[in-house]
Amino acid sequence: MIRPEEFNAISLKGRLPVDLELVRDIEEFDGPLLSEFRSSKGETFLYYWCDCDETANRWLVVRTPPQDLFRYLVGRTPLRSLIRDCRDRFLYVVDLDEGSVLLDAWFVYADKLPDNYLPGPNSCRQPGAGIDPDFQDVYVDQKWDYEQVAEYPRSYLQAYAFHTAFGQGGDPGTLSVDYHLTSGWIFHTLFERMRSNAPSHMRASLEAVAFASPGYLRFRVNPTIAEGVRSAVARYLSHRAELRQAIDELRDWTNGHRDLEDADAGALIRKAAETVGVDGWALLRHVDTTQHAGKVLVSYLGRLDFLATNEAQHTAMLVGLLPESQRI
Amino acid sequence: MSRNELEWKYASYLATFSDCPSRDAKPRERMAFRFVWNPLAQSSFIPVAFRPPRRANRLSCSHYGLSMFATEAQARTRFAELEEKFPEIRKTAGTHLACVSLTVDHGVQTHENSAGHFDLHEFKGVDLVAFSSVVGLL
Repeated sequence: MIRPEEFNAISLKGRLPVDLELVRDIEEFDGPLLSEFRSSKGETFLYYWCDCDETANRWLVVRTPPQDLFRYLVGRTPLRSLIRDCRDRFLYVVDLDEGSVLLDAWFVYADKLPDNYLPGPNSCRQPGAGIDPDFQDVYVDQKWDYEQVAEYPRSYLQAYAFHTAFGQGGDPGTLSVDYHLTSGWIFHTLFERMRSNAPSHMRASLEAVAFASPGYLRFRVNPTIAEGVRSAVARYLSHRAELRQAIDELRDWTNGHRDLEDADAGALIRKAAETVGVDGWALLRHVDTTQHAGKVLVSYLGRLDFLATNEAQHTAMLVGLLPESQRI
Repeated sequence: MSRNELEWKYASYLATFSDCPSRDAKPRERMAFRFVWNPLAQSSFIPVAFRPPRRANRLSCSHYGLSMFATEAQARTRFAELEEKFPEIRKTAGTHLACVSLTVDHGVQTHENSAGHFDLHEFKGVDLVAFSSVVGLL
């Protein structure tokens, strides 16, 4: 290994000045190569493997705000920039033995690192992995106004609520939707009913927000339900034209502008539901009429359309969404 | 041979995990590809759990298996990705690609992931050096 003094690193006398706790491994091959850590102050750090000899592994330890990490995880920036262009402009070099005991530590400015200690310019991550199973992270790459700030979390949580009833791993249970139950029914109430119908461990909540640009959102989620939502957004992106047509047809029919037999409308609902991976049969069973089931599905697909549009425009991207090449 | 009668090369270590190797892992005859050092020797077929200096401080079942790829192209693609992100990866992963002629007597293979990667958990007494040949530089 190169002696750190050769690239102007300054010895920290065998002591790393931050206490860090492992959160998760992000890149692995025969063991971790890139791992996320958290400091006692709640800051995110990355351990990046850069070298080894017979007795030690060398890592770069770099403070990385969550939005920068999420930007990498959705494939929008190379790993190189997280390190070379880190916000502090400095990082730590540590040598660990195989028991992870710190052998030595150095301080170094990022622009002094040798090139073989830095990822290459094409070190972008293929999106589709990098999820923390209990959270759905969203990388935000746009300055949002107040309305947009509220709209994304609302749309995500409403789509998620739909999945707790009709998506993969969901269960509608005793949910019964009667469109005439209240006068002036609003869709917020509909999704709120789905949310409250789900057992508490299945529900999602907004956990953290940083609305700078770039920023991020973090939802606490049930892993199975969240995976279903990601899959639905990916499927929506792959079948957007036909789903938008189905939305138009169902909306025209429910608004009385188009004639459809109930059976044909039911078939249309089931087909659109199947396309995004939700249970159209269950939807028809738990909503009092086919027409109302159509309205509920159109409302849900509208939320998916919003999430998918943000994904396609790279304005808000779900960490863990499958890349285009792997979508169904 | 039933699963209980199988003798694993690293049995005492595997026994510390539940369902290790996974019950889905099966013996299979196939050609596989592995990152190695040239010339080929036993040292290229040591699971990462025993290869110093270890990076993982939380060992899993997978760390007692040997990383393999289903095709040469998949192995080379993965290596290129790793080298782009970790330029010194040759020091820990290997410098050459070997083709390994696996038989049902060598061990069980986990399911391939989307990148063609799987783990081979060897049976006791298996020596893969004799069944391997270097294909070329990575």
